[in-house]
Amino acid sequence: MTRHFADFDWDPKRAATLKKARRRSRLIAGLRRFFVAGAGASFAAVFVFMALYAIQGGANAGVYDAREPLRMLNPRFIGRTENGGPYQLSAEVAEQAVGQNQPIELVAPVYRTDAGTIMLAPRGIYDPQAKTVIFDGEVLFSDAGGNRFTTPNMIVDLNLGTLTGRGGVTGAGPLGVLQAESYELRDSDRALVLRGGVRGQIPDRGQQNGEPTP
Amino acid sequence: QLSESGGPVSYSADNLEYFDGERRLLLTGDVDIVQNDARLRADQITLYFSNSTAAANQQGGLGSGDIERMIATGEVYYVRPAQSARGNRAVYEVSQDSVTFTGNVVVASDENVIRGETLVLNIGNRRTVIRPTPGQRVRGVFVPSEGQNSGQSPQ
Repeated sequence: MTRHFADFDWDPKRAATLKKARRRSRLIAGLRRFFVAGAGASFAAVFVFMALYAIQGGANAGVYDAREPLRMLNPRFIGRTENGGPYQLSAEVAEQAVGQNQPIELVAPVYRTDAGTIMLAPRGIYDPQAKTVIFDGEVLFSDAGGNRFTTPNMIVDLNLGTLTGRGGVTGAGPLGVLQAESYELRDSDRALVLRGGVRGQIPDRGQQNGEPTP
Repeated sequence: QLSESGGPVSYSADNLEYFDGERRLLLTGDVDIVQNDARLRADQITLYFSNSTAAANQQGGLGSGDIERMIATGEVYYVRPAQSARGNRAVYEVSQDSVTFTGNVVVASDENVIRGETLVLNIGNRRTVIRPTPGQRVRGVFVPSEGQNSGQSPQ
C-alpha cells in the first residue's frame, strides 16, 4: 500500500526534481562557458595590455625626452687620454638638458688621474662634443708631489689630458709658493706651465715643506 | 746660495715652466731672483734641482729638491751690496759656491770698474777673478777714496 501511495505521490516530485536538475545543469553549463570565456578574455586582455604598453611606452619615452632633463646620481666616468693617461671623473649629481649632445652639468665634480692629480670644485660642466670639463667656483687641486693650488676656473681637456686654469692661480708645496695668472698641467701631469705675472718663492734648504719664511 | 746669508729664493717672471722629469724650472721674461741681499736679473733663468725631495716623496709628482745650478742668459745682472756684475751669460754652481759670467763682463765695486771677458765671483769669500778676451788685457778704473794714496795695484 505504501508502495502504491509512494508511486502516486512521487511522479510530480520526480518531474520537479528532473526539471530542477536540468535547470541546474543548464546553469552549470552556462557558468562553465562563462568562466571559460572569462579566462580567455583575461588572457587576451593581458596580451593586449602588454602590446599597448610596449607601443605606448615608446611613445611615452618620446614624451619623457621632451619634458624633463636626464639626471644621474653619483655618476662615475673612467677614461684614458690620448697619451694613455687614465683618468676618472665622478660627481654627486649629473644632469643633462633635453636635446642631442647637450652639456652635462655636474655637482661637486672630482677629477683624478693615475699620476696622482686630484681636482675638485663645487660645480662643473662636461661638454661631450669638445671632450672638456670646466670646473667652476673655488677649484682646488693637488698633484702627487704635494703641490696644492686654487683657482677660480679650470678646464680639463680629456683628450690631451691637460689642465688649464685662468683667472689667477695660487699654490704651495715642494715647489715653494707660486702665483700666476694662468696655469697649465700637461704631459701626464709632469710639466707645469704658469703664465702672466709669475711670482714664487723656493723654500730655503732648511725649510723644504713649502711654508714661506715669515 | 746667491747670497752668503742664504734664505728662501723669491722670483718673479712673465712665465714659468717646470719639467718634473728633468727637475728643471725655466723662468722667462724679465726674470728677477732675490735671495736675501743678492739679486740676479736676466731675460731667462733656468734652475736645476737636485732629486732630494722627489726621492723623499717617491710619488714622482711635481716636487723639487734643492737648487743645484742656475743658468742666466740675456742681459744678466748680479747685484749685491757694494758690488755688481754684468755679462751676457752667467752660471751659478751651488757646489762651487761661485757665479761665472761670460761675454762683455763688467764688474763694479763702489766706484771701481773692471772690464773683461770672463768673471768668476766666489760668493762665500767674495773673491773675484777676471780674465780678458784671449789676446787682450783686463782694463779697469780704480778711484781712491779720500785720504788714501793711489798706489794700490789692481788684482
